[in-house]
Amino acid sequence: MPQEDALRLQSLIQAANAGWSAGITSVSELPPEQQAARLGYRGGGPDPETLEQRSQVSAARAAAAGITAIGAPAAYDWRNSGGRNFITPVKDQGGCGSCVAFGTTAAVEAKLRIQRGNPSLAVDLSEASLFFCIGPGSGASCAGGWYMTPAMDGYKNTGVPDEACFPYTDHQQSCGQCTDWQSRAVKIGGWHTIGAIADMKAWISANGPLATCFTVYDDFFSYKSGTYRHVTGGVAGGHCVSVVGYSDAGGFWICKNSWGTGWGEGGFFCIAYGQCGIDSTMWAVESIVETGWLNNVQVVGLWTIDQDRNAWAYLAGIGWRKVSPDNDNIFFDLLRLLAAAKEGKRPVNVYQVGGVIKQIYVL
Amino acid sequence: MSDTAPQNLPDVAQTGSAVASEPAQPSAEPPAGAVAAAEAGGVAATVWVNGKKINALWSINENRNSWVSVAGVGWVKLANNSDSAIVALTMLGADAKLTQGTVNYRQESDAMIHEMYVW
Repeated sequence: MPQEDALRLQSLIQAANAGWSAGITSVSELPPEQQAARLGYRGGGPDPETLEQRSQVSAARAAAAGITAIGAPAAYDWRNSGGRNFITPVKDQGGCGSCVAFGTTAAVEAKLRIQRGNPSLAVDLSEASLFFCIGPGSGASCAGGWYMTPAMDGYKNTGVPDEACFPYTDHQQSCGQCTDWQSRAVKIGGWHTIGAIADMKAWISANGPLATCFTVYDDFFSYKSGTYRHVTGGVAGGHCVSVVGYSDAGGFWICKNSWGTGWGEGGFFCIAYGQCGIDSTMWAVESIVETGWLNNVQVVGLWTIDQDRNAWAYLAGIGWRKVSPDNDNIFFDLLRLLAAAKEGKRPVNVYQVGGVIKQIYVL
Repeated sequence: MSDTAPQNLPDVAQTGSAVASEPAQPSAEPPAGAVAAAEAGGVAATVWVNGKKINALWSINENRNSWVSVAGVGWVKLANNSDSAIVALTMLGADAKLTQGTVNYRQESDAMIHEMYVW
């Protein structure tokens, strides 16, 4: 966008009293087809609504006054939750319509940090694995984009390894993840959609960021700061992001985009409630089912039931983890060591696969 | 022939309710302190007994016959429908006895413990 266009857009924003600032960004100078390539949400299909339906539902809600939090804080921001930032760094999807993979992965990464209670936890999951390995089974492509339902199902049923297993590059490619991806994969315990505004805020403030999708208009590529409202320009396409917070006083959602830090407010943006279908339906990651070592944790609870080889241990700061039921002696050996650690109040290192404890050191 | 039982069998306190599912997994979070037990009378098919301590254990050379003594309640038999289940329940009962941790358990109409949390 030439400088004169940026000035013209800014004057239109001011005339409309829209409350945001435009300017030259990392994507505003790209030709329209390359801007559109930085989106990638189709809407409809396996998802609950089309983009048009999302916009209609959001707009109707905004018109019906009173989008305020009920039973949730009036504002929340996971970038500053009690002084701690649980949000992983902003990424850049480049010229591939893989926003669904970035929006869902951002929500999963944050959920993992929140579940562990560790804002410094090193977590960087492979959007390439999600998009190029899981995605093709349901039609994902750089040119055509994807849907949210199969992406969330992919995290639940297949799992996604770390970024180093399959680094992301922004061009259509075949699955090229590492051979041991299964032992490195992170799965989610479940997901669901949330349709009520109050429930979205309650979920965000209590559980973590949501993923959402919306309609992008041309003026959005020039967003620099403030609370975005559509002012001018046609529809560029559908886009998905994660929602990391909200403010009732400001009347906006706080979102993490995937266009690098050279766009928006360091890669983040605020968008007014009811705009562009942003809050018609959002997607919630219920829990993380992990693979890998958990070191120096305490066993604080045990549970069992009248079923064959079914016992769980509660690990402080982690939650319930199932004891491997592979056979009788494995099950009893592991359970006995977990009980010994609990009894002696000794820390343990446990190796879990998909949330099932397979190996344990009692220290 | 019925199984042997430990001496001085008590009445059983009953409280709460439970939902069993297959495959099951735990749902409770750790108690802030002792879990308050809302004791109630009467007989129910399924009851939860919460906030208890285990003060004795008993077992014998008979198949799947293991009991725990619950403070304020008395001897209660562990579910005997599966080898691995009764061993796991016995291990949790032993943990509770050693640590004097808080125990929440589900008792069915057969008067046996079918599910147990130990904190």
